Amino acid sequence: MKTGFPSKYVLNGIYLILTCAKAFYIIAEFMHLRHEIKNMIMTIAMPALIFVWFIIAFLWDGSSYNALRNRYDAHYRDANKVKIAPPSEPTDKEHGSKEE
Amino acid sequence: MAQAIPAGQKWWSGGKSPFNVEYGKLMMWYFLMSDSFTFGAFLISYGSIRFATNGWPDPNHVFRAFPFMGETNLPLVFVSLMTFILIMSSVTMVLAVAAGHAGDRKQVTFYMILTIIGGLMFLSCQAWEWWHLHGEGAWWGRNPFPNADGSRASTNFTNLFFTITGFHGFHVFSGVIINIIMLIKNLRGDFERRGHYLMIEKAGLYWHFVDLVWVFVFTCFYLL
Repeated sequence: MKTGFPSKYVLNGIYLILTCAKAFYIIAEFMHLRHEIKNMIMTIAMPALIFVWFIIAFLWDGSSYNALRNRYDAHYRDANKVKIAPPSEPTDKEHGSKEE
Repeated sequence: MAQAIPAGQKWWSGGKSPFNVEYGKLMMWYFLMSDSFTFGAFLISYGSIRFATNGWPDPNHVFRAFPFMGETNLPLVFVSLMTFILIMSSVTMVLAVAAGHAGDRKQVTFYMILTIIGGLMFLSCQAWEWWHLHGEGAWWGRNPFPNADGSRASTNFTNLFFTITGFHGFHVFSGVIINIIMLIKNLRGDFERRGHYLMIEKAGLYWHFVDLVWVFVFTCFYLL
């Protein structure tokens, strides 16, 4: 798990795609929604689609808030530079305090 | 179960369900939709808090223990087992619903018992995981795990973890209670007298939903 290949972002993308595929099959086959009539499917599926926008909007908001704090709140920004433990994924050696 | 639909059926002319679904089952679907908004709100707040934070603990480091194995380094093995147990109990629930369609009371009993056992196994696993994390010093308001980059983590990680997995665990618990009630009703012959096993189907919908939520909880907390 510490190889750095494929990159974390590629792996996360694969996890999310597989999660959505699994969720689709649980709803469609186990919960039998695929075999209901179309009006019924739509009353469930359309409200659920709001989540797509919810997720985009709130993650966007979160990262914007983080960027603002890193820019204007020096205490917040510097708190992350104090290391209390060796990094669990030794990707950047210069932060490992024990080797100095 | 949907009946055979004649061609040119006018669904909205009145006198029948325009969704071709029994009332209680439709209401179960809408309850589950509102419940998905609850869990969605939880997971979206988790996501926005995580995006608003510079560092986050590494799940491969936090979740690396396994029961009765001493000091281990098996990242995510135990939680994968939990996921497998829950999906298997979902499969036995599908088989119970199928047995209900066939009107086979003995098979329904058999698969409901298996489903209940699966649910109890999942709850036991979660109890062990909470107990273990509590032993490591993690609880609401306390977080012993550093961020992946070695800096000090906030308590957001443990607060969100215990709140959301706790909420999900409570749903599993109530699902097991519902399944036990369905098993008792089936043993008393209630469904056989009634002539259909729609109650098993509704309990099944709830049970699959619990499994569905776990898929997202698992991804958010353990994989990403």
